Amino acid sequence: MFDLLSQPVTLTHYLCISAFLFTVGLLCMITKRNAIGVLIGIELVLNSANLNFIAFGSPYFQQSTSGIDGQLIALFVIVLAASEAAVALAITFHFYQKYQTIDVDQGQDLKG
Amino acid sequence: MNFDSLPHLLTLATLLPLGSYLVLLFGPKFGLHEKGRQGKFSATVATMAIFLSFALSLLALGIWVWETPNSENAASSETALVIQTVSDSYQQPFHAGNSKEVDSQPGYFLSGRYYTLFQTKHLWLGLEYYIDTLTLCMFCMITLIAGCIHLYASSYMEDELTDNYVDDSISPFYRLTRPGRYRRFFQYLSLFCFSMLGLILSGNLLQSFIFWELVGLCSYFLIGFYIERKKANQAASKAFLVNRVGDFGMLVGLAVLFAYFGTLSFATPSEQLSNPQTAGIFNQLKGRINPSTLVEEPPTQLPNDAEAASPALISYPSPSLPYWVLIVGGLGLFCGCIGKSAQFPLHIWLADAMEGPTPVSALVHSATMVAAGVYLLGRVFPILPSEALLIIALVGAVTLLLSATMALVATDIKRILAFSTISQLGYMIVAIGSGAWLGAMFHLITHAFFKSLLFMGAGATIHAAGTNHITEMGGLRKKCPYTAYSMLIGCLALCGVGIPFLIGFSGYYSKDKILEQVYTLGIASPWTGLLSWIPGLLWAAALGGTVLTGFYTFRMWLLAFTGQPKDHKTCAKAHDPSPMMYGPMFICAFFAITLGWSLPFSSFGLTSLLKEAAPVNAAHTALSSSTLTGEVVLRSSPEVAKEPLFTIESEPHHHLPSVTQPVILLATGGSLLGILLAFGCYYTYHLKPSEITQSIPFLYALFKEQYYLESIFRILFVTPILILGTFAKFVDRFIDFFLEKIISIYRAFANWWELFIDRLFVDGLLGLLAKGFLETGYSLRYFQTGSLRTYLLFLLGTVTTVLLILQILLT
Repeated sequence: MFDLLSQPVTLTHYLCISAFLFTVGLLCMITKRNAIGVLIGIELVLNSANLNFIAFGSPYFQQSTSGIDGQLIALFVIVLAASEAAVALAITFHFYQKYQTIDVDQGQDLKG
Repeated sequence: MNFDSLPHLLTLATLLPLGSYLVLLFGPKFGLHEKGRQGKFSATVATMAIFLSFALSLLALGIWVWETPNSENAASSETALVIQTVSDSYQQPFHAGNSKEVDSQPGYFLSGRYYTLFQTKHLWLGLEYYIDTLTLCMFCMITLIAGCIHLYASSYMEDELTDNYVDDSISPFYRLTRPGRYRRFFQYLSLFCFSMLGLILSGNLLQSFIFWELVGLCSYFLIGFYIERKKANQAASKAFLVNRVGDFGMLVGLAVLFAYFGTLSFATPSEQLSNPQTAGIFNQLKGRINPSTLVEEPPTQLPNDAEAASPALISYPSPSLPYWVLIVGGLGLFCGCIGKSAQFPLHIWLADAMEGPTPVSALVHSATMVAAGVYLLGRVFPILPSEALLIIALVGAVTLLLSATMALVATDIKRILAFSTISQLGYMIVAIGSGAWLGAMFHLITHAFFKSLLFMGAGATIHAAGTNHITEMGGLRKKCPYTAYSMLIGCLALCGVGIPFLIGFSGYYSKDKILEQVYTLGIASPWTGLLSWIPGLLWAAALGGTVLTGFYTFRMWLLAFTGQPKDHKTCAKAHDPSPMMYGPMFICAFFAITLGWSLPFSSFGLTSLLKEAAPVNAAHTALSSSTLTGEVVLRSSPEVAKEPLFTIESEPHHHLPSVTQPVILLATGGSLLGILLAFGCYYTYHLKPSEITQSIPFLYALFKEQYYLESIFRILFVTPILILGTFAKFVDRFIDFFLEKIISIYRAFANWWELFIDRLFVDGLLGLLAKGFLETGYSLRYFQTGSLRTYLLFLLGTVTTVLLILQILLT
C-alpha cells in the first residue's frame, strides 16, 4: 500500500483513485435520502468509470493497440451522464410534485 | 265458356274455402281480427268463400248441361275432342240384349293432370282431376249445404263471440272460462269444406286418400271443438282412431291396386289418350272388358300371354291381372268406407260424434265426412267385382237394421238422428252392393239435404227446449212453428213419403230407386246354392228399414213437438231461432221436397244428370273369376263358361212396371205403417210404448245398449290393449330395475374414482406444486421493498458476494 505512494504514477494509481471514487459514489447513493444526493453519487460512479477508460486508453501507461477508443467512450459517457442528469432531474421534479419532498424513501410504490 | 274452363272453375271452387281458412288462420297476425271479438268477420269470410264456391259449381254445372253434345252431333262437335266419350270403347253395352235398356246418352267425363309430383318411365304421381256429372252434382250439393250451415253456424255459435266463454258442461263442480273460439270454428269449417271438395275433384286414388285423411282430421278438430269436455275429447279421439282402422284396409287396397295396375289414376288424362303408358285403372280394366279386344286376344291365348310377359314384371299395364286383385282392392277401399261412412262394425264413432257443436253434426252427417265413403265407393264402382259387392251389400244391410233399431229407443234427439244417418248410409251401401249405383248416389245427395235440415232443426229445438232428450220436450209445435214444420218436411223426406206413382218428397224417389234394384236382385237371375237366401234377406232388410225409419222419425217428431210440455217453465220461454238460422233450414227444406222432381215438361232432373255418370259396364257384370287360370276373363266366353253362384246385374235405367209397381206400393206402405205406429204410440196413445218395451225387455235392452257393441269392442280390443299395456309396463319396470342396478354400480365406482384418484392423487400433486410456487412468490416478496436505496444495497451486497466467491474459487 505504501509502495504505491513512493512509486512514480502508474496505471495502478489511477485504478485505485477510480475504485475510491466508485466506492464513495456508491456509498453516497446508498446513504443519501435526498434525491439530489443520489444523483451526485451517480455522477461520481460515472466519473470513476470514465477515469478507468481514460487510464486504460492512455498510451503513456502501456503499449496500447486500441487507439483513442478509451477517450471516445469517455466522451460518450460524459454526454450520457448529462442526458441522464436531465432525465433524473425531471423525475425528481415530478417526484417532488407528487410527494412534496425529494426523500427517495418516501416513494415506495414498487414495494411487492 | 266451354269444357276447358270446367277444371279451372272447380279448382277455384275448391281453393276458395282453403283461402278462407288461410285468411282466418293468418289474419290475426296481419291485424285482420274482429274488433273486440264482437264482429263476425270470420263468419263473413268463410260464408262468402263457400257461397262463391257454390256459384262457381253451379256455373260449372250449367256449362256442362249447356255444352254436353247430344248423341247426334257428338262426333262433329268441337268439344267432343276435349272430353272423352266413354262410349267409344268402355261403356258400350256388353250384352246385346241389354242395349235397349241402356240410354243412348253416352257418359262423358273430363280428366287431366294439374301437377306432376314425380315421373319415371312407368310411374307417374301427382295431382289430377276427374269430372263427370257426379262430381258436379256433389260439388253443388256440398257447397250449398255447407253454405247453409255456415249461415246457420254464424248465428248458432254467437255465444263464442266473447273473451270469457263460460263452459259449465265439463263437470258440475267446475266452470271453465276461456276465450271464445268463433274464428277457429269457421277456420275448421273452411278447411273441412276444402278437404271434401278436394276429395270429390281428385282424379286418382292417392290424391283421394290424402283428402280423405284431411276430412278425417277436420272432423277430429270439429268433434273435439269443446276440447276441455272429457266426452268431446274422447269422442274426437274415438272417431279418429276408428277411422284409422278403416284406413288401414284402404291402404292395403290401394297398395294392391297400385301393384297390379301401376297407376292409381281413375282414367287416362284427356290430353294423353294415345299413350298407353298413362292408362288409368278404368281404361286398363275396360281393355279387358271391351269385346273388341276379346277378338284380338281370345281367352285361350291368355296363359301364353302371361308366360311371355311374366319376366317383364315392370311393364304396365300388367298383362296378367289376377281376379283376386279386384276383390282385395275393392274390399280394401270398402274398409276405408266402413270407417268413414260409419258402417257396421265401425259405426260406433258416429253417435259419439254428437259431442261436437250441432252445425258440425249437420255438416258431418250430410255433405262431408260420411258422404265421402259412399262417394268413393260410387267412384270406384266400375272396378268392384261381384264378390266384393256381395259383401258390401251384406254389411250395408246389417248396418241398416242395427242402427235403425238403435234409433227406436234412443232419447237424445241428436243421437236418434245419428243412428238414422248410419241407417240411411246402410241403405246407400246396400244400393252400391246390389248394383244400384244411381240409387246410391241419388240417395246420398237427397239424404244430405234432409239430414242437414233435420240437424239444423234439432239444434234449434235443443236451444228452445234446453235439453237434448225428446222425453223431456213436448208441445214445442205451438212455440216454434218454423222449426217444427221444417223438421216435419225433413222427417217426411227421410221416411220417403209420397203419393205412389204421382209425386213425393225427395226421399221417396231415391229410396224407391234403391228398393227397386234390391227387389230385382233375386228375380232377374235367381241365385243358386248356399247364397240363395241373400237377395231375400237384403230385400227384407231394406223393406223393414222403411218401417223402422217411419217409426223412429215420427217418434222423435211427435215426442218433441206435440203433446203436453213436460217442463212448462222452459216451454214458455221457447221460441223460434233467428232468421239467420231458419233461413238455411228453409233452403234445405225446399230441396228436401223438390230434389227428386224433374223440370216441368222434360225429363231433366237430378236423376237424369247423375245417369250420365253411371258406369254402365262395370267389372261385376262383365268379369267373373275362373278358378282354372286365375285370370280376369269374360263371363260370356264359352271356354270358361261356368254358371256363377250369383250375379249382380247392373241397374237398368228404367225398371219394368212389374218391378216398380209393387216396390213403390210396398215402400210407401212400409213407411206409412211405421208412421202410423208412431202416431199410435205417441199421439193417440192407443198403443202403450212402455208396455211394448216391457213385453220384450231383452230386445229393448239390446237396442238401448246398442247391441252391447261398445262393451264387446271394449272386451275385444280396448281391454286386451290395456292389459298388454299394463304387462308391458311391468316388463318395462323389470328392465328398469336392472338398469337402475347397473347404473348404481357405475355411480359408486365413479364416486370412488373421483374421491381417491382424481381428488387425492391428481388434484393433490397439482395442489402441492401450486402451493410451492405460491410460497416462493410470497417469500420473494420481501425483497421488493420499493426503496431505491435498499435495491442499491442489495446490488452492492450481491456484486461483493459474487466477487468474493469468484476470488475464493479462482485462487
